[in-house]
Amino acid sequence: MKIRKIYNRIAVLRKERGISRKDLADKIGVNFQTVGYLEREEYNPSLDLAFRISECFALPIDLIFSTEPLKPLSQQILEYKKEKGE
Amino acid sequence: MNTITAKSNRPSRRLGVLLNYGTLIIMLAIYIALVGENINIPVMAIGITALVIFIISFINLHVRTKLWKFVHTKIDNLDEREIQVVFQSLRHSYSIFGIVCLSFFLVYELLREFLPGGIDLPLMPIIAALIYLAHTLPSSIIAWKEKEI
Repeated sequence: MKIRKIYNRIAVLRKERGISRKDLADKIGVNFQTVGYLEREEYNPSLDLAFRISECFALPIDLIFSTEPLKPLSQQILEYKKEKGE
Repeated sequence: MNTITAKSNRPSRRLGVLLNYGTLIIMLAIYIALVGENINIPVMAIGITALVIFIISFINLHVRTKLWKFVHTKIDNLDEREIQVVFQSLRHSYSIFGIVCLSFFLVYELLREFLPGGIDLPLMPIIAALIYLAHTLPSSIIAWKEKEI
């Protein structure tokens, strides 16, 4: 089975919150190098780890991970607001 | 979490792997060639140089990078990516070791059977080298493959 690449916004979210890779790694219970691999999209997290990351950033999982390249968060929020008619 | 923090780039790790196994083969060849023969000083010098390079490359490759410890760490102390890295290296080393072992014994048996007068290799150092290979292959594979360790 060919494994699909999972795109993510971990690097952006981490930088936006001003936390280091080491701090994030401690919060989600992995080695800080694993955070580097996740940010470079060289490693697909398990569902459990994806949920831990989502809980850490207090964001829905589908806002952080996607099977398609992610648009900038600001653009996605605008599109979401348009859809909702806000 | 277990951390392997020692910085070493991949080309230098790959060079370390080549030097480590290369010097092991040289030492083995010298031992086999010289067993029961008179000591030849230039060949002995090559053998001692190979031994020194072997020890240095072992320390740099397996001890300083903490790869040796990493491969033998309990699963509970590794994160999911590290477990995947260790399992993949074990899987690859199992197949490589199997091929090396079977090829060696096949060639040895064929030579013993069909070579006029047969061959009389000292098996103990070869078996010791195979045990060393089995034990270090997983960490060597990680050193060879991984971008960051």
